[in-house]
Amino acid sequence: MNFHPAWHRLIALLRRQRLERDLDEEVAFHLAMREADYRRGGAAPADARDAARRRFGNVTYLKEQCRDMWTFHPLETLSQDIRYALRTLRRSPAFTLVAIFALAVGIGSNTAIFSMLDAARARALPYRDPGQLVELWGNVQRTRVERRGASYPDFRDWRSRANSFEEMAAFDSQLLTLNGVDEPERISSEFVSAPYFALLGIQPVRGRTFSAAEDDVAKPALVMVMSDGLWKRRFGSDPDIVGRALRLNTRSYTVIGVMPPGFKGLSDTADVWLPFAVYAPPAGMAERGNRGFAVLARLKPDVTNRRRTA
Amino acid sequence: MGDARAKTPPGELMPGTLDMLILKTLSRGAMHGYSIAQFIQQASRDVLRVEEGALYPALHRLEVRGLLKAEWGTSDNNRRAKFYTLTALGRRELDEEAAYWERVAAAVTRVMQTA
Repeated sequence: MNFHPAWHRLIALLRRQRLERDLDEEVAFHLAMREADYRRGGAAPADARDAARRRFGNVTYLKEQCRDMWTFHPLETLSQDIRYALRTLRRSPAFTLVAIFALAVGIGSNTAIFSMLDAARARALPYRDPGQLVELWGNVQRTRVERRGASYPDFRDWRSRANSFEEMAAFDSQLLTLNGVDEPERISSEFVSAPYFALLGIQPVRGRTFSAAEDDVAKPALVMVMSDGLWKRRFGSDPDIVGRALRLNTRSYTVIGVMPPGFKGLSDTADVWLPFAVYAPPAGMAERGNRGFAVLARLKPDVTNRRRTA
Repeated sequence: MGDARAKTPPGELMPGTLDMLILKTLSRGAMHGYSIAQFIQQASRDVLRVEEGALYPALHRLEVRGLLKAEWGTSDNNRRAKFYTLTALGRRELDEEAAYWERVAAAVTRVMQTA
């Protein structure tokens, strides 16, 4: 079986312009040669040219014939074939409907499955060395073991006693109301211990985050760190945002820093961070039975997860 | 597709025959369209005058079929011209066509020679 025609025609499809030019030049060459021949025979230039053309034949028609050799018939008849197919399908509606339905179900279910898999695909956490980050929870023994979280006294103990961890930070989220502005708004907030940001490895883009001294339960500082989203959305990227006082619920906090775009804390919703020390009144913070939050911790580099659970 | 089996006036060539003559001409070496036309006319002692324009569709058809290869080169008088050469496939085709032609010609002659 000769594959040449198909191959040549495919090439022709892509090099249409060049083929046209080549054809023109080829014919022009032939006519010029014939004309020169006649001139050598003694004819006048104009006569020679006419004679050459006459002998050649209908140039336009012949060029058309040459082009026909190169045309890719399948493509040219494609529109005819499509129309024929549509007509045939219309003549047997039952078959067409079944075919369309089968295709729709097939394509639809495939798309659904792949979309779901894509969405569920675990993406690496955007924090520093996320493999070494763990969440600590307290368990409480009732009729069976219940996960409750830590209480502040628990947290303190863990922090001082645990050997496997570099650092720990308590964190919890809550909805607070931003007051004292034109439009009060419910803001998702996180209460976090001072080392929280360092544990995640995220630096503020303006100002700073809490210091350990500010996170003192005995004397908590009324400071807050803001998210980039909130800063842009409510405060118009105010360059003097650091130092501004804002009311959350009933208390006034001073903005000390702004976090980078895209960072919304471990809860992935936070617009504001407050020191953990203001999480509850001092009495509540001292109560060991008050369990309800998790603790973020980073394993020491040489410690594996296995040993830590021991 | 240009494979016209229309009535050919006497003295002119049927497309199939023209193809065969082109292949035979090119078996002597690469030539451009004009030289091919000249050669056929001279070699046939002026009996066969190829309608020159018809030569080119034939050449292009043979090229598409893979029996010829075309290349741009320079002619004797330093002009750019398209030169055709016979491919291996073309050579085989030529042998087949020539054999068939001889058989047909011999048969026709035999019939004409009966009383």
